[in-house]
Amino acid sequence: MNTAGTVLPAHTVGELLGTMQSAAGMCAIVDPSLMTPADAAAVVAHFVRTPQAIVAYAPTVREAFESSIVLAQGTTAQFVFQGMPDEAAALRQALLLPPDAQLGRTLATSLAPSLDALPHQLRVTVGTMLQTGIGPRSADALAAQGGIARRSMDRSFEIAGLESSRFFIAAAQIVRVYRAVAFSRLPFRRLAAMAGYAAQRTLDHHFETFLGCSSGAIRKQPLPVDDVAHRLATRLTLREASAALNAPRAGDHDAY
Amino acid sequence: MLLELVTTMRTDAFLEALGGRGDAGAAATLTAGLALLQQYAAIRQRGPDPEADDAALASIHAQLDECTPTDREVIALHALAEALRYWAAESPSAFERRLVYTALLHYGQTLFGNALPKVALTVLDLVAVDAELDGQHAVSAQARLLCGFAYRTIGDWDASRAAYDRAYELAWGAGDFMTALRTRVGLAYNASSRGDLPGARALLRATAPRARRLAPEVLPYVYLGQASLENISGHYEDAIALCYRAHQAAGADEEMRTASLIDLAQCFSDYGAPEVAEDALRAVVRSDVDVRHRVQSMINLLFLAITQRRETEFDTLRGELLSLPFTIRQRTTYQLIEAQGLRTFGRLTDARAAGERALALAQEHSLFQLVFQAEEELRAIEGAAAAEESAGEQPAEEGAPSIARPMSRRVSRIVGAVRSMAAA
Repeated sequence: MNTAGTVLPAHTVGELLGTMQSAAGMCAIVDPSLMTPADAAAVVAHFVRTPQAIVAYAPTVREAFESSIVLAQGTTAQFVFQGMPDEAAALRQALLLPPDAQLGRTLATSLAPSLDALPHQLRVTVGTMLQTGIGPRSADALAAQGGIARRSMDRSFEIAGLESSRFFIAAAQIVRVYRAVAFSRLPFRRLAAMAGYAAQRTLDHHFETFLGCSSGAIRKQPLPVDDVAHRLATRLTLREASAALNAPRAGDHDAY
Repeated sequence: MLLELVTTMRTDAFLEALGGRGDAGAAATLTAGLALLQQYAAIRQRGPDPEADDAALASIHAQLDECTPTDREVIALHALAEALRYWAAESPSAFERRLVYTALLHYGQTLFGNALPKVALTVLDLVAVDAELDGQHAVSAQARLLCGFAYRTIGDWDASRAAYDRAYELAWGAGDFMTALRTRVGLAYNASSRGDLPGARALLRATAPRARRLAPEVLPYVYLGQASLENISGHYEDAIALCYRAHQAAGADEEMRTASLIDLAQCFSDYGAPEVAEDALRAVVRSDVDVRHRVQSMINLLFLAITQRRETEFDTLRGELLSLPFTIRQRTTYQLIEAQGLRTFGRLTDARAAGERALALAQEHSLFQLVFQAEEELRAIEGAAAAEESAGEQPAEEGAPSIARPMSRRVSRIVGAVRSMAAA
């Protein structure tokens, strides 16, 4: 995990908040069993001001639950439970592919009016998926998590004027990998494999489709988060999609 | 009707296990577990009733407070009761429901670790089905992965295969590649247990490159699976090399490093180099790993002391093991090996008693493989007693010597690495 960067230990919540404040681009790793609900609320308050990637690495003990719920309700923290069969891989993914919290929030906010037309549970599932970059990888799994039949889900997306569920799953994956693509030194091939893309080519294809440029170009010159969110939202909204994609905006391609 | 049947089966499994738990504390923990599961089923079926649920959960917490607080089962049940408190509130979020499933899964794992596979299966099956219905496919997949393992342990191969296959589909859809690929390793063990070694080999060979690409954490599992196949086939050097590869691939995963070292010792022992096996096991005993691994290593050392006919060391190790906590499976294995050792050293009365204890424990906890081994051991003890009566005092057999075979360079290198680990 050397490519992930520097580790700054924090022994108290005060230290943690100070570190989060001074290094806004960092991924904060917390153990909810060592935090009081008030501490967790302080982390949430900080997150609301400055969205940041948070990994909650929690043991399955009762002391961890109350703070975990506070964190889950107020942040887009990824939870990795100790002792579960997927612990090692989930932790590695959480640390090496921390989603861009700002990107997730901006994207979810800009799509909120369209998402409001979806049934409640599906709306919550899709919203969470876009914010955290974590969620189902197949349309069937998304329908199941959204508590709705597959065909009803497809119809709901259509009625809401949104692209199909496959596009949403792909967009969530971009939220997940954007940070690593833009700012880490992880080889694209490894990154694509870790994120579950069939090949590096697929990762590139998704970036071209949604953002209009390849992953290599993004690494050379990262796009501002608001711009990425705008491009994703445009691609996910059926009516605006074709017009927006066909009309290049000033400066879009000059940099590449 | 189906719901009633499932509930009855669950209750029966708990009651059967309760009958076998002599210790009052352990029985109280199991009773609390059943009460919590009933509470969970009630909340799921009728929706939350905050007043009744809070009272019931508080009473279960109080019941658990009287049990040993460091007991893993007690910790898992406290966690489950706490998680249920959030479900008992109005309209729990997906995360709160996930907490409950995770706590249930953890409880199921703990029961399985305590050699209560049937009870564990009722809990794991419950999580697998409920989480899947709730759209929480990642948790459901993990529960089914553990179900596959538990069914394999009790010898129900078809149920095990079905559980692994469903876990694979769910995990793949949920993007949990580690769980998905671990089901392939489980299926390979399943196939090898049924004698289909080529099938198992092919499955593992196909899984290795996928694991390397998608979830490198699975590679040590794949290598250990391959090592076990090579060991069964008598290709000991390949088995040793694969175990060592698993040990190296485990990286910082202490649990896997230890497990691979224990398997490596087994391979060295089968290869005919018990002294290297002892070095590997002593490295585990001296390390700061989970006590379960230390106990397992000491039991294996006990076995090696028997094969090497070192009676004093055998008795010393027995004494040291007495003060350590065993899981049920470990206790049964220990009694069995103790019986074997006592027979080997001609202490037949004690051997018979140990063998009978092993048989009783194995039967009580449905550890069928150990039941067969204990019965076989008891027959061997009777045979030895009959031989002793007819022929008088038998001269003690000499210890099984190390096989003086030429070691390949790769095995020599691994021996060197093991020795330096033991010396560290």
